[in-house]
Amino acid sequence: MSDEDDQVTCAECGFENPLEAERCQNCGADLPAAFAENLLAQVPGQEPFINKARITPAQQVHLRLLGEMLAVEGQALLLGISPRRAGYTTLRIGTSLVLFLVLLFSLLANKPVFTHPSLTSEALEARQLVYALTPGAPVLFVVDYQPGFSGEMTRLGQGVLAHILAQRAYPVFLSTHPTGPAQAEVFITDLGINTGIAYLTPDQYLNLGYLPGGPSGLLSFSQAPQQVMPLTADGNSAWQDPPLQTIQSLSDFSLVLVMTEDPDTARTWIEQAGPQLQGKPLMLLLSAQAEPSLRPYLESGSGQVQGMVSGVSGGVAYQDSAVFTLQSDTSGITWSAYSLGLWVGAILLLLAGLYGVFRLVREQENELSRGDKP
Amino acid sequence: MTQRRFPIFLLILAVAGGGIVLMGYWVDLPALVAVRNVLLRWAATLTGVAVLLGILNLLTVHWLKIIQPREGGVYSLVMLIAFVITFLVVAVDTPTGSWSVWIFRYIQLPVETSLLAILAVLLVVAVARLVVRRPDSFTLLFIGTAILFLVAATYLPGFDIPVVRSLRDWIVQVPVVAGARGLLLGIGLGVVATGLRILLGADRPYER
Amino acid sequence: MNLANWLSPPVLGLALLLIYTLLFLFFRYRPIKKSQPSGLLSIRELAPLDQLIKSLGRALESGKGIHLSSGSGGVNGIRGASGLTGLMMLARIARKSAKNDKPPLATSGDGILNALAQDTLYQSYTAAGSRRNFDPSQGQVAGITPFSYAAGAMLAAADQPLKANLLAGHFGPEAALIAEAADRSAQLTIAGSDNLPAQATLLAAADEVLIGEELFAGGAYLQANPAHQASLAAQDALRWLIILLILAGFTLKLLGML
Repeated sequence: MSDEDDQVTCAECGFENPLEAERCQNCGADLPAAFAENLLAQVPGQEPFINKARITPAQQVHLRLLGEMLAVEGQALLLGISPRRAGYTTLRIGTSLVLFLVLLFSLLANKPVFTHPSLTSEALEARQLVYALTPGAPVLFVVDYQPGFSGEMTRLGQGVLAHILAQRAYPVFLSTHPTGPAQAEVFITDLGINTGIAYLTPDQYLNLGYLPGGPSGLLSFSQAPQQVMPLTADGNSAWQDPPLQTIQSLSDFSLVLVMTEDPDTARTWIEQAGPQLQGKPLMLLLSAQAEPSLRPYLESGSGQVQGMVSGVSGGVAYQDSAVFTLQSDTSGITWSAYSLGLWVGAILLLLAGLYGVFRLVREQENELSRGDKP
Repeated sequence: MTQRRFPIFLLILAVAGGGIVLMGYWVDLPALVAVRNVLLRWAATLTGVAVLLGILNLLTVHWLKIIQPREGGVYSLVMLIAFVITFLVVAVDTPTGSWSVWIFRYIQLPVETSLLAILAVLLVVAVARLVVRRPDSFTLLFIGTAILFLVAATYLPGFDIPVVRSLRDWIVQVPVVAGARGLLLGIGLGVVATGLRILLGADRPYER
Repeated sequence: MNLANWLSPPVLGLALLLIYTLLFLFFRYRPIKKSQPSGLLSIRELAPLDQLIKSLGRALESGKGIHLSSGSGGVNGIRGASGLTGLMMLARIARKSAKNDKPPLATSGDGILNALAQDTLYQSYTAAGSRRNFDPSQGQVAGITPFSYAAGAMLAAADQPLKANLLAGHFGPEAALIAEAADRSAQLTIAGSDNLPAQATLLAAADEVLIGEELFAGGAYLQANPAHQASLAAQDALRWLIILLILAGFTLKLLGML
């Protein structure tokens, strides 16, 4: 409390201090009352007033904090990159460069170094299903993967589709994704380039296009395909000509083949369309990520799935084992590039893990040196 | 009164519709199957309409970014122009026409495959961050399993170690499948619970 | 005696549905003792959801928003449940942040889900007495296909000052792109998906992950509705029943009765 306008009395020892003093010059105690007056004086339009109330130590601390906050108000603070995030940019760039250079080198070197995989038992069963197809047999080929997964799925499905066409069966493409129709066209066109055969619609295949409605649409299509999808993707009548004239339900197809990267999509086909098949085989072409979730359908013995080919390795093994030939067979080179990529990826993961350990140790050391608890 | 009756009407409609479709799985009455098929076709049509709704919302958001100038507005303009061009091309040429497939092959396909390729880099960096964020035995197991799977998927000449491949096969066919089934069972329970809450009227996302 | 004929999928499915319904009705309407806290079941701690609650508070204090992404699964089929769960969490988030400077942002990859998200936001703002603060553009469709949705959600989040991102719905592995973009902007990411490959990538990429069915506990954890807690209790009871059925099936198979 001030007895005179230019002095403030310390509440602890009674010493008279200058008005601008924050601590008592005699005993060192805080002088919050005057400090509060000074603070209030800085607020435009406010008259300073003398605060005669006792202020507790906790309130003194809060007042000091308030003063410090007001002092920096309006000053721009330079925020650097958080130390927790710094350093990962280098790792990002390094990883990208290594992967890109390794794969580029492998493709340019043009040498099949890695041994091809062998066919698994479920892929053998899948191959038998395709061998059982007679000329003209209608096959429902569901193209249900995201365009982003084209790299893997094309390598996976190319051999199977080539085998189906070599058997002179009749694939009918369908998709529950909006991009599916275009995807199917790209798929079969690229196969045509590799086999040297131009596959034409409607002579050798048909593209029914996009089936909307998710599981509801799928179930409706399974029960009455001609009503639900009367036209092809290019607007022509789909079911007028053989071999599709006799198709009344899903069970009239000789084989249903679902190509997808999403385990939920495959499960939807198995669970919604499966009961409508009435004994006709269902085969899955799966991305490697979906295989563990769907393996039980194959192994349970319930007869829901009769064959499965999964991943790039499954596709390469299938292609090696079938009787057809491809004019431009790049499977050896791309398999080597893929395999090298996996090895490099494994090494990079190991290095990334070690880098993480290094950063962790360094951060803990920094915290210890600052006196903070780890 | 009408305001109070409308939510009840919506509830009855939702419960009845869901109930009919569900009962059709067990009861094979021709009348029930016929109603079920009609409802399924309506649902399929509505899902198709949902795609249109989504597109309209997307266009509105980007249009607003252009007329109320905001950062990134020029990209929204590019998006709208690309949409108009693609729409016209596909409408005239059909979804499987040569021009439509050209747009898909040379624009959409490279963009989406590139995004997925970035994931490979991203996951390597994420492993480093995971070690810093969660330095425990599960992280070690996660990284070790990932490395094992990558290595065991290939057949390096001269370094073919059958034990590694057998270990990988065992891990895939036993613990991974078992764990995946457990997770899927739990997710399945959650899905059933969510669906039944709506069927029982306990959750009404359709009500305003 | 061959029990396989009696335990066909339709029969088992019907039985489980009926049991679940009875359990749910029991937990929902059971008489509660006066000594028990009203309606609250004890739920084990879920660190990701605790982080979400803390982030809500920090967002309010810092004047930043929360981004909720409900995925590209729509409301149809298996994938719809996770999207609807995301909407329930959005309702709680919106109610808590209705008076915030920065309202929550809700992105989705489906038109119906987006319409429901906008409705949810409107209802929550009305319930909080802040109807005037509601802006329909808070609910956006970020993209129609999963990858375009991921790209759009990354950009939508980068456009606004955000404290945290909650990914609760159907996502594929591309959700890791959203988590990475959020990390670059120093935003927390809490993620949950019903898709197994996505859970694997998010475990590495996101700050906190809801594994398996933890996503479906979100509604009960955030106390969205007493029915959610009853539903969670019924799920737990049914889980134990399934465990017993698996063990029983294994035993019967060993004995040759199946």
